Amino acid sequence: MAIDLLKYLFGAILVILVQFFLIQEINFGSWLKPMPYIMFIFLLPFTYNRFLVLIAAFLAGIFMDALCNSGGLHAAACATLAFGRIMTDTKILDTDAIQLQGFRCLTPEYKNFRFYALYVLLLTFLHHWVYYTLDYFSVSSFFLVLIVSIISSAGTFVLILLYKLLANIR
Amino acid sequence: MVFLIRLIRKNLFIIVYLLLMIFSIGQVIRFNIYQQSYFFNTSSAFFNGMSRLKTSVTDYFKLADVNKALAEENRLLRESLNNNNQLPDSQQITARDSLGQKKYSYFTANVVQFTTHLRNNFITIDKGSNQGVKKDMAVLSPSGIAGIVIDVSGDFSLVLSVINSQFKATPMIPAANFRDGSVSWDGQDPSVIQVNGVSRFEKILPGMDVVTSNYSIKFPSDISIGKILRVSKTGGSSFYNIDVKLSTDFRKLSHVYVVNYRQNAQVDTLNRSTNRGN
Repeated sequence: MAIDLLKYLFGAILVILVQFFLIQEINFGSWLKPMPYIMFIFLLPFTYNRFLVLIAAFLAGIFMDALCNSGGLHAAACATLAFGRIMTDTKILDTDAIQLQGFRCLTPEYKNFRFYALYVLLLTFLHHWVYYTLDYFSVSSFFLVLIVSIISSAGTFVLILLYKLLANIR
Repeated sequence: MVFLIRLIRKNLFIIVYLLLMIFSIGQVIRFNIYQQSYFFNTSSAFFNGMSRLKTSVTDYFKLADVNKALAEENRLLRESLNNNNQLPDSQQITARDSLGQKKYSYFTANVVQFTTHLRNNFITIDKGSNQGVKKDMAVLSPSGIAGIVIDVSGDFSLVLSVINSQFKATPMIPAANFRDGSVSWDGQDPSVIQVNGVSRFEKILPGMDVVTSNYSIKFPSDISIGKILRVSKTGGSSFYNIDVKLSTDFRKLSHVYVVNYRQNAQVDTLNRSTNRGN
């Protein structure tokens, strides 16, 4: 358990540093701002305490905020993402059945790819929507926020798949 | 009471989530009122190590462009020196600034950390109160304006970038003899900024230079803001929509100048005594 936790902590720090040093430096365009560092929240196993997941996501967000001077944007968005994930896991998914099939978290191998894509894309959209709503902080830019978060969610999803392919994470 | 405790225990997860949200949204709001320095930022010592590491790498990729900008600036400075010497009454011009004192003095500083992808972007520079940098000083890049200092620690300061939704400055368009309105950023393209409040009866054309106004206290006058890219009119409005291509490339920012306005204290006291603020 402790070694496992260290592994996830190391992974989280790694994706955050990649986000800070690399992804943010790449100019994809003014509407596409992917944030694939949130993938570690999807990778935390179902067995972990829900408070642990929530606090871990929040702390990662605070760390990210401190690095890029963004107040509490990442913290709020990550906490919402963790909350959304826990809610989906407990209310919609049958996590016991998934664990019995030998999966620690939801992966593309469970059921089919479309199921996994829907799960990740919806939660990613939730994260990005909260992030950009707080970033723009005005009602008049509601549709702009919506467009930016949809496009960025797609970009984030592609990068998460790329990470999985590169690191061969199960 | 027992009922209340049971209710809290039942919904503890949601309550913890809401508390975290309140904390982080509080941070966001406090950071929107930018005069107040907020809880975590890169002017604190801990996160500077990280940012410095990053700039030490990324600076290499910008070297060529930075050198070009500095060389260009040197050329302009040398030109203005020669021009000054040839003017017959240059003595008088310098003397006009209250008893021959220099109006502004400059600090050079290196950029430690900056962002361009957010809506509220900040720059962290490696000069602070120990070197004499104070809040509200203007910051210039080699090619134009860069921002305003909003928070100072011992050896670092946090600069509100031009590409921040909170930034405001007064522009001047010399070719149209126009000096009013305000410059602000709409959050879209980090190389394009907007000029608001220009009446549609002015003769404004794309390609005209936009510089800082001589009405501004923080910024020295005639510092380049950019060149007008597009001028458009929306029906019914009596103002132009003007897009200005910034002369500062914020993606390649690495050296800046902090402007010390020497009579700032006097202007401040004057404003405070008449209750105007600044």
